[in-house]
Amino acid sequence: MTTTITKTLSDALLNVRRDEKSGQEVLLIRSTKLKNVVASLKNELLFDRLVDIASVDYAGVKDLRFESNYFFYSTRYNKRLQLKMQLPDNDPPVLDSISDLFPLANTLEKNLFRKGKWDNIPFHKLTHFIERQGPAPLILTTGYCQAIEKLMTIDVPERAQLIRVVLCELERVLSHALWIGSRSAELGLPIVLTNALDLREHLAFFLEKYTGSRVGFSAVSIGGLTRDLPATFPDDVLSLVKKIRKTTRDLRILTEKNRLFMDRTRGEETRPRERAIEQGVTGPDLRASGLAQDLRKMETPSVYEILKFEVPMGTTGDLFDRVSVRFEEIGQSLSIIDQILSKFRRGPVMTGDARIAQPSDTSLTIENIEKGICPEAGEIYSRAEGANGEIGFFIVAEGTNKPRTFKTLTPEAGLPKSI
Amino acid sequence: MSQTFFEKFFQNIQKFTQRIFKRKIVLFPFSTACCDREALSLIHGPNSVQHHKVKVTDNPQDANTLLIMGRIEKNQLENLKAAYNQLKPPKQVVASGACACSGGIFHDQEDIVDDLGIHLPVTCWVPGCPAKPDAILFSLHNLKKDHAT
Repeated sequence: MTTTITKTLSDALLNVRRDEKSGQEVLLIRSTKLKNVVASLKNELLFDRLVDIASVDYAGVKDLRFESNYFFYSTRYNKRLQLKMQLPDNDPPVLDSISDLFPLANTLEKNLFRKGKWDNIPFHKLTHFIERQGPAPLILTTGYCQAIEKLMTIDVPERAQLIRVVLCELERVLSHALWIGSRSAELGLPIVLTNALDLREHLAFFLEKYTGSRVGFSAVSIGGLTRDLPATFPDDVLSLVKKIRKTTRDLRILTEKNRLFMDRTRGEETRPRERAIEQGVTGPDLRASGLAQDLRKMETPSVYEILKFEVPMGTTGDLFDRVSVRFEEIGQSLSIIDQILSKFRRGPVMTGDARIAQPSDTSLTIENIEKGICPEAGEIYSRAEGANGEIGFFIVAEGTNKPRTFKTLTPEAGLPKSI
Repeated sequence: MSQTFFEKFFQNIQKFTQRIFKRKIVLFPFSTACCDREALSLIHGPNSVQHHKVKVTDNPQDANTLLIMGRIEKNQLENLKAAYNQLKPPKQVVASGACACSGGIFHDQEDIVDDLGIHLPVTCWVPGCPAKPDAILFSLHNLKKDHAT
């Protein structure tokens, strides 16, 4: 991989290294050659998807003040790549636009600067509220916490990881059901929405009991979970899964076996595979277009390796396929939960790492609590499978309690372009 | 102070409409953000407000209660006031959720209305992020009591 890259991009390349934490190649290139490099990446090395763009401002730290990062992905070879450029401050730094090569760049070529403390998790939970497609705050916070854990190389206890999976899969079910319900209501079938809301009511009641809120669920923290679950958890989950199975069966009868629904969705809004990749569509929508790409299977190491599940796939990528892929995924999520319930072992739910866990009472001071978590200097790009697509976090740490730059890629980033 | 005939006449009409609306709330939801996820449960869900003698409408001219959910931007205020002016008397305004009450996480930002009470006569504030459907229902029941007295 590295040799072919150096051969193709020899004139623009300054440095190549492999980042093990992020699992991708990092290329440092000359900023003037950006457009040539991206063109040869797309045409010769077959990196066909632009994932994200993020920039860092190193004011007063480095001589070359600005740093720009472009993330690419090759669906053909399942490889990831990060382009890095350093720009001086003396001129207003200008980069060539690559929106004629990747249409998605038009949307992403806006920078987002956000500053908050590391453990300010509720904020990331709320980022997803702004997205209208389907709420998934737990998956988003889990993705953020996993990024920090990768950056600091922390081992999370297995029990905490398994509970995280249960909560995330329940949330995936909730998100998919609401998606199906609201789309059906737009198609003139409000009865589906009423049934989906019935399912949501069961899930909201359950998740409120364990996470304390009906919409903004919060149970995950960096290094594990905020608290252990009570002993009644497995029984409650079992009865909940039974209810979900019943409601999902009703929903399937109302949509997939409904003549009216079939007529209104078959062959509508067809999105071929190539177009979906070009526009940066991910998650169930991409799977409906016929590409079996699921980060739960592809990202290693992860808890999902010990669990058996299938990645459902559509054929044409029309609206009916998108609905049926979501129904299949609800079934797979429920089977994952069934498998996990037999795997629960007793144990801690929070890591014992001294950098994260609260210190013993002798050294517990106000300053310590106020300072919070301080990861070592470095940068990370971490991804996870959200309910509606890929979520990504680009984080640059400086060794203090605040990140230098923090950027979130939400699943809906590509959607405005594709509509 | 002597009242003219027309003033007395309109007062009587107002009393009459108040008596009609005593046990009836017609809701016009004005939702701008994520609170409408709970609003969906409130309106269409299994424990809907429609089982509690509350009607929900899309047309502000039919309604007498404005339910505001979510952050209100300054350029949305005009539409909100237009919706309020079209309501039938007795007009009631319910602000639900942290964003509508105080700006929430958007507090102190340039385009966000922090204090809705300056612009509209809010009858009832419902806290919560987002406000639970049963909290909104409780506030509506209290509104009904106000109507009765």
